[in-house]
Amino acid sequence: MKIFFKYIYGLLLVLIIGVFILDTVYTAAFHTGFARNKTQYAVQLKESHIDYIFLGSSRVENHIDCELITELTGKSCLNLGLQGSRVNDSASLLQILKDNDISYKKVFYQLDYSVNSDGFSPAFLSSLMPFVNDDNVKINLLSKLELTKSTKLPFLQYATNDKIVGFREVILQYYGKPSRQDLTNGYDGRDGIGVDIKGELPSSIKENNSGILWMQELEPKNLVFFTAPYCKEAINRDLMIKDLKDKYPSVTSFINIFDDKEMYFADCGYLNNKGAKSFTRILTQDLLLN
Amino acid sequence: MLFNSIEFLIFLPLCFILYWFVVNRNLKLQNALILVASYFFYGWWDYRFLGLIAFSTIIDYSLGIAINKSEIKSSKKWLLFISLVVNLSLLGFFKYFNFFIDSWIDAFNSLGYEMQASTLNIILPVGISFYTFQTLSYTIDVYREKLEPSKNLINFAAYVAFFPQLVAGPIERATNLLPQFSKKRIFNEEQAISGINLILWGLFQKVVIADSCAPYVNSIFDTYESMNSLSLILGAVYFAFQIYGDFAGYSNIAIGTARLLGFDLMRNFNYPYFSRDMAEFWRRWHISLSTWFRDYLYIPLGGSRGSKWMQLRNVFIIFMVSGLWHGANWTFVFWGFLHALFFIPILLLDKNRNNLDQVAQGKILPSLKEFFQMTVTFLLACIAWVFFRASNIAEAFQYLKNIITDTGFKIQYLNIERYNIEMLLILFIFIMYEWFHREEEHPFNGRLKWLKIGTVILMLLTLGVYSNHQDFIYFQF
Repeated sequence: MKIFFKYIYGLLLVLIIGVFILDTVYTAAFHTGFARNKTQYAVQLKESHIDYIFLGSSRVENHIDCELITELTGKSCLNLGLQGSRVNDSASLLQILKDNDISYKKVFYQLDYSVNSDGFSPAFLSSLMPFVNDDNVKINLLSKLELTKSTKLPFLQYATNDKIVGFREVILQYYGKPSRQDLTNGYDGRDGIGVDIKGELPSSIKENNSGILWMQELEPKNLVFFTAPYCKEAINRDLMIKDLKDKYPSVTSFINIFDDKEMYFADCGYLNNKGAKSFTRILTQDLLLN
Repeated sequence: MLFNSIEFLIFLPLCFILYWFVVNRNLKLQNALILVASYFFYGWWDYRFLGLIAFSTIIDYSLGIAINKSEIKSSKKWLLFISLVVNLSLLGFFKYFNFFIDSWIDAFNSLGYEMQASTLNIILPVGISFYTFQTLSYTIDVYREKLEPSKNLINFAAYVAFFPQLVAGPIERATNLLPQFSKKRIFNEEQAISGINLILWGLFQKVVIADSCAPYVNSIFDTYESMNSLSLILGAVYFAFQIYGDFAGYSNIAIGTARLLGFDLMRNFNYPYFSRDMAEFWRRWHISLSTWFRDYLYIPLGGSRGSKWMQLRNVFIIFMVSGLWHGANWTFVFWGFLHALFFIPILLLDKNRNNLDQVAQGKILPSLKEFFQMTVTFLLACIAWVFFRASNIAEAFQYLKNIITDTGFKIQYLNIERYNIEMLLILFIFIMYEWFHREEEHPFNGRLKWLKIGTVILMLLTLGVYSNHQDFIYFQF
């Protein structure tokens, strides 16, 4: 059996060397390359000032045009809305910004039925993986992420999250291909006008969401909640907003502002480009200028 | 338990250590360990169906002894008949009950008779088609007096449930595998190392090739109506490599795992996409199934004896039954029917045994003629794969029609946010690996062996799909 075990050791040696080399190459790519997603952008932001920061799901990413806000107010703005994200993802981004000594005037969070689920989105956790072993990632973020010890193993976090931080992304990082989104703005508008749009919302809202509590803990004073529009056809819309206001009394609702403007909707939950710009103007007027 | 899972990574070394270091002096204990490990392996997926394997095992074990003991030809026949009915009924119920009910209702409704019936919520036990065929081969061979029946229930149960090949083959013949359970096993370094190499190559085929193709295939087939000709052609090509990587990968891991335990299983794939005609393709694709059908269906039907019409009839029967074996859907039957059609010219021209050797043997490159033959054979296989992958026959025809009518040859950016060029590059590397090692069972030989191993390990790490790994396609069969 000696030869067999020697062979196995040989294979393991090749594997271990490969794992260490790749871990080094991958980690370097995400740390030295241009930011290609919002998590990487937030991690790379250091000691600067942004007046208005918008957090939330795709209903922030698709609705808040920061360039327009800057034009209207003369203040800097960053949209960190992430498609398919959960509240904890936004809280993590806020934690990262705080840890990176980013100062701001106000943080806005778009509140809707997404507060009904806790935890993190897999895509966000994947995008965070290259940075979880960084010295500057503070222990309070790591403790909230509840990561297993396996992230300490070299390369494993890249292999198991290969869709977001795999080989393809590493090549694009080294190649220097920019993100298709302008990350300094973060807005990504939708095209088209929805035809015969329908939707359904939950009628009740959960009271305590760990991500909301985390954000409130991080920013007790300047955290502003708002709700972006939904189409008037959305079933349970009024019930949901009533419950949302009961549970989160400080929320400013824009849920029905476009009930007579069907051409502003790409579908029931999303405004199109024209609608988003109009909404951004209204929000700026109501929350930032008044 | 999947071969490409963490659980198996723990399970296999544990089995290996117990097998060669704890019970190595006692053959009975070794076989008992294999049996327990196999039931554990299967039970990890769904323990409820262990009873089904045990039932099938006891029935065929008893019938094998009874057939052997019986001296009257007619009672031997009856006993074999019971075995066939029991095994095929189990397979028929779990796999085809709903299909036949649905097809029956559709047929009546199409004739204008309103008919309604409810189907049952039946879960398909993983690997049922594989182990049923394996137990069937046992009773048939005992009946044909090609094999002495097993007198040891543990050995026989271990043969039926042998975990490396239990859920997706190769479908072993009792004449090859069963006697190996009665022989004392001595650790053979060369056999074990070749087993490890096969496992490594099988993992590469599955995790890098098949699982990388999967999102492309899903994306193209799911939105085939908006795809242009080039994307549709690529979709069929990707599926050809997905199913090959998936199934050949599984088979190689199975054969490699068996070798680690001192067993030799039959080869299941022999570089089928380097075939020069369809007859050669079927000598190289899913060899354990095609030879099973040859021995237990084609030859009893008359095989290549008799008139051309009889031969054609037999070819159509075995291909269509083989299609149905793959799944309870008319798409599989049509896939078999197409392969039978492709076989007609070969059979009529008596060319079915033309290409028995390896293509371009001893040469680096094939001749132009060989290259053309391989391309045509591959394209025919791809056309048939469209039916295999599509949800129904009409969709498959529409898919093929769109290839011809769309005539768009601009590379499309797929909704999985991937470019075709990335996948084509991976496939090119894979084809080169296979081409230059087509006379060996895996590429890890020769002077550059460690370089090749290192490259494959690097590709496994970088190009392997681990975040959303796919089940093996052949599990559903």
